Amino acid sequence: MSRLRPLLSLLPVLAVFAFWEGFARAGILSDFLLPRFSVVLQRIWEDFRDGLLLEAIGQTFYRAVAGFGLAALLGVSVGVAMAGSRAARWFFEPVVSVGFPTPKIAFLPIFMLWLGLGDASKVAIAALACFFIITTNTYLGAVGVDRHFLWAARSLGASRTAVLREVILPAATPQVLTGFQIALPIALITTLVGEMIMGGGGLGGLLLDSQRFADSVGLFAGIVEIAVLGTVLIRGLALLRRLLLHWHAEARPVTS
Amino acid sequence: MSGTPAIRVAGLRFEYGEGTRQRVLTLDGIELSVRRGEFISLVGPSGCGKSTLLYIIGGFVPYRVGEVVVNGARVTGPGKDRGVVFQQFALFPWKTVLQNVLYGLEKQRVPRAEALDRARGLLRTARLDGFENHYPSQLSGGMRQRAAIARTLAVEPDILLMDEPFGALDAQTRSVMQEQLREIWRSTGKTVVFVTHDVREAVYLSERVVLMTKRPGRIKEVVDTAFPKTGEMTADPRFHEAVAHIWKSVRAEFEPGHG
Repeated sequence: MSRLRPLLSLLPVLAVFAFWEGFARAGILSDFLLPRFSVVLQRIWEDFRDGLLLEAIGQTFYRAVAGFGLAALLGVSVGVAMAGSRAARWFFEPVVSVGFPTPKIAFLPIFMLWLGLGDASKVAIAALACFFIITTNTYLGAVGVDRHFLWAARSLGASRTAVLREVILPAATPQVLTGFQIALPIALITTLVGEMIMGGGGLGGLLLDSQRFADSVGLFAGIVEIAVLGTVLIRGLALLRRLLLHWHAEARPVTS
Repeated sequence: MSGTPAIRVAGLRFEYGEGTRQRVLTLDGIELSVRRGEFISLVGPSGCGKSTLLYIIGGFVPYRVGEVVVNGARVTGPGKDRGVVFQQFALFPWKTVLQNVLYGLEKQRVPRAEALDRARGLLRTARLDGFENHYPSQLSGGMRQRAAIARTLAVEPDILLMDEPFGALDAQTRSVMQEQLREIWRSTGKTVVFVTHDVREAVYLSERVVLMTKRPGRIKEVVDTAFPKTGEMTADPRFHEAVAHIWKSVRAEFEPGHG
């Protein structure tokens, strides 16, 4: 039974696809406005066979994950520093509170100007979009750490910097990972928008090409491909969370 | 050396939120001296500042007015000479029981083999052998507190500061833990400052009970409870007299203004 459960959760998704297929076959909308799901699947298969799909997925994956990784590195460092140092808090708190609600995609033209139309500007825009989310979550997680943990560590002989690394960071891990889980889809979205505006390959580039050639089957194929890539990435991160938080009560199956 | 008290507090005054508009005078005119090897309890109504006093002695809460001296040196921060035990255990949940006990030993740069030996020995004494690789969330409250005490004892502090350590435990577990704490105190001769709400517990465990007034906390009375004790359920009239006396005195602090 438990082995069937993941398949069972796929059923609603399959139902949506079946509805799509049926609705398209009913002929209410033209094939151009809504191609059949089976035709879209066929296109995905062709793209895969030609190597086009894997190349595009690889490019988008690399850009999104590189941007996300950069933001994770910087965001966690800045968030922990803000929790541990008055000077870091003084500097970053206003910066973060202005940066957080600003739509980061607005920086895209500037990044294109600075970094060109290649990978660099797409990675940079994804990193910028993720940075504030990860910083804020890390900071909130780090300042929320029970002070008794800090006191226990200090009385056992830990220095202030050791406390930051050995107590505050692991104690904040659940919230840091929550920040990651919010940021990763945003990295993907931002990368895709960047690709759709600038071109330069990737799934967004494929969408851009399909749009130019009025290829509606290609557009729908692109949407399905992006959905699959996003789902895989998010599931991967959820798995990482379970591995990292094996000590946490949330990771343990409820007994008795 | 034996002449100097383990802890000496003189003219201590403490305000919470100093420099802000909502500052509250928490402690005022605290004078207290604790002998080396003595077990004292701090008792008083909620919010009287007894935990604050404990954490000031621990070096976690900075103070400006008055003097707090531990082993002859003015307290300016935490130190491994003062081990702390908290009501909510404060075990690191991402470390196993053994890793928790090892943490202080690592910080003291005790060689690995010796540290492992000592940690395993302490866990045996705490009757936690077999749970070394469990995480705190997998243990009962009593086991967690025994692990936390083992972690504190690992770095061999000569003063134990305990903030309602048994307050989160059920009655049976609490009385077993009280026995074990008395045993630790008797066999190691550590100085203990013990904060509690429980008057019977205070009288049973300590040699002196320090009674505090409601906020701002001042020392109201110090009751000598150093007579021999057999348990919380003893028939010894001195025990019951001390409990009744302290109860009356604590209750009096609640009367005006408190329903």
